[in-house]
Amino acid sequence: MSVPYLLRRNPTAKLAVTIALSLLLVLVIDPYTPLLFIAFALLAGVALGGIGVRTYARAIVPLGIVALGFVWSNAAFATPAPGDTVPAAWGPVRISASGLLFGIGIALRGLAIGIVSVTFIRSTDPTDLVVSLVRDARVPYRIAYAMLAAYRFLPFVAQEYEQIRLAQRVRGLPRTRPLAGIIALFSTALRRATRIAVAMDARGFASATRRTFYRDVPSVSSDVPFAIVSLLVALAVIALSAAAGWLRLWDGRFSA
Amino acid sequence: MDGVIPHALDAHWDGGSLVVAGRETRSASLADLTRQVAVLFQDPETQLAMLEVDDEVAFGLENHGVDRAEMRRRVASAKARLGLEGERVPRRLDQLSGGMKQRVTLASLLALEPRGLVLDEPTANLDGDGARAVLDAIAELARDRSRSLLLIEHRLDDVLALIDRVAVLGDDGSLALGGTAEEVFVAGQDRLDELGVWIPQLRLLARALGSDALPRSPAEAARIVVERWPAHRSVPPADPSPGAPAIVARGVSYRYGRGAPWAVDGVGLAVASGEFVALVGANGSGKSTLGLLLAGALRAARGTIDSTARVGYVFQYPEHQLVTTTVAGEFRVTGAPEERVAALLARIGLAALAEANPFTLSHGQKRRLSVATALAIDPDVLILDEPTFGQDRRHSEELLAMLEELHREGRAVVVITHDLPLVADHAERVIELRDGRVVFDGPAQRYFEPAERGRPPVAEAFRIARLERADVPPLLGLRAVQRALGR
Repeated sequence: MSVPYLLRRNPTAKLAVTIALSLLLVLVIDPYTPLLFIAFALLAGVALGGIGVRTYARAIVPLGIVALGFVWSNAAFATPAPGDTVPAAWGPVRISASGLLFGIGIALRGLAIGIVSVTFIRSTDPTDLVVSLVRDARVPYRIAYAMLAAYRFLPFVAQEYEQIRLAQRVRGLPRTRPLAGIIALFSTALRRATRIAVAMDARGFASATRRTFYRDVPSVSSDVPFAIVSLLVALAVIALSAAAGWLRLWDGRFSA
Repeated sequence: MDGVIPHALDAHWDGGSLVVAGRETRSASLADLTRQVAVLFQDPETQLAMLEVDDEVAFGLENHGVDRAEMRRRVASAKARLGLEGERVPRRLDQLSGGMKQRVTLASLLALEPRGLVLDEPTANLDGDGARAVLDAIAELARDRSRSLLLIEHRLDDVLALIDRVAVLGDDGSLALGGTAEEVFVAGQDRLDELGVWIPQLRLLARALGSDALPRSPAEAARIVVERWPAHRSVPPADPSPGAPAIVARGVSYRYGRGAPWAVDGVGLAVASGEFVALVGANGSGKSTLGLLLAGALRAARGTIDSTARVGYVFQYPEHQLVTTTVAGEFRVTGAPEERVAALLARIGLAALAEANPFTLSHGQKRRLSVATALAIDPDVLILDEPTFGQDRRHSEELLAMLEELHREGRAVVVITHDLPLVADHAERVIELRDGRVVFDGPAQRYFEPAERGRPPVAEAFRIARLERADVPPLLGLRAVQRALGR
């Protein structure tokens, strides 16, 4: 099986496209345009990235919960505009039509940025990303490799905290002591980080002047067309939405 | 020696000079030094920098600016040398066992083609199989003699056959003893006792039999046993019958989350009061999980645990259990009365440090503190997870003496451990777990019987000796030897 198209793209180019799409989405407040973005991002992810529908489904659950919160708070608590219709009311809670629309818009916008990000993350190897950021985006290698170390660190922190919680419980303390746990966590995390740093320096990390790369990551210049086409598609989607009369851009207000 | 001090770690250089490959390390560059000398550290979890095996092996080469074609060649040859190629080896580092991670790091060092290799307790964190694989790799490097090896180690029996010279550091960091292995371990043995430095078990065996030799392998030690073991020396019977069951587990299973594999899978066993039990098995076999279940810290997903006992539990890393800012506070927090606090602190030799912050204690002191806090509830059963891990000889001996004392008081002691000499010397009963199931539960004597099972060096020496002299008893450890010899 050949490697899917999106996986063969340069990580820095993909990251740039992801950021550009997210910025465009931030400007959009109607509910239809983000829906179009979601459709296109899903299509690209499944067809060109080989990403399973299940992967998206798993990501949508937490994103969706946050999105529903946005819908509810805007619909129920936004001040209704004069002449606004009230499709539903329970006691003091009055759902306003403009608030509902605004809430759905924000929620879908968040969801769209989420889906675009999932497409990026799921089609990008973290090591390739780090190599590409150092080589193509001129990110200092110390910072980029620290990101990699942090990525490895997270599961450790979770495991460690679980151990501490159990250790406290087994001592039969009247109540758990989260603060003591955090101090213990810091002390072990600090020691661990120092050890990793020393081990990296012992293999010449601190003294590297001209680093080479073992990984052959696709060059960023060959993916300029990919970036341009992606942006053109995004602009076409916005144009389509405008032509249909759906598009509304952000006008500086924070509620309906 | 690799220049990390003083070039990358801030340290005060008090004086003297260190010359590596003809260059003073203080004036040579870190880049040059790390090319000459590579270091393998103790903990496989805290020296990996990357996410995948190949990137890790190439990491040092990248730092030194080696070009890609050359890197490919060196990565392939280093992996081949350590048996890391092929489909069986996962690509991602987080899917490797500790022993494999150590071999990946060793491969990344060999790829740098250093002239010297420093190995800092390379097997201390590994289980039996992992340690054996890493030791085999080191033995092969030692045999080919193309580079210098400096091994920092407490446990010496497995590497005795490889050693040319030994240097012993005293408590103040000065060179206390140096010379050939014979000069240090035989001629210098009294000084080592004084310093509290480990002496190889096989040397202690020879010493107990009045020999001046330093056996380098169990077979060599067996020769000494055959020659010197007193005829018709009967072994005093040990193993007093255990008391009433204190904890009974029936069909106990546990897993960390739905869909995860069973960490403990249908375990049934009883711990009787007054027993000394060793719980053994490879890393990830479920030992600690079972310990936590028996202690009541985890609740079984299936099966039942009946316990009439108060259970104390000592974690592998003492820091995990610290909750206050003073040593005495660690006892007061669970409501221990003051006179009991004072008695326990005196017992572990920390009375003078009662008001110190527990995080500032040495590792040995923290370990003793964590044992003592478990004793604050006056437990009937004490479970300890790897109690001798990272302890020097003096602290290990102190701790084991304390456990024997608790055992004599009639408490059950359950030790989760990879430390085979500890098992051989102290445990009456061994329980082995594999993939969460009990695969052995019986007397220690019987546990070490099968030829294919890893056993401590002294037990192996007696096994070999018995092939030649049937009247030599099947002893397992040095304590049994001392007892049999009437000391």
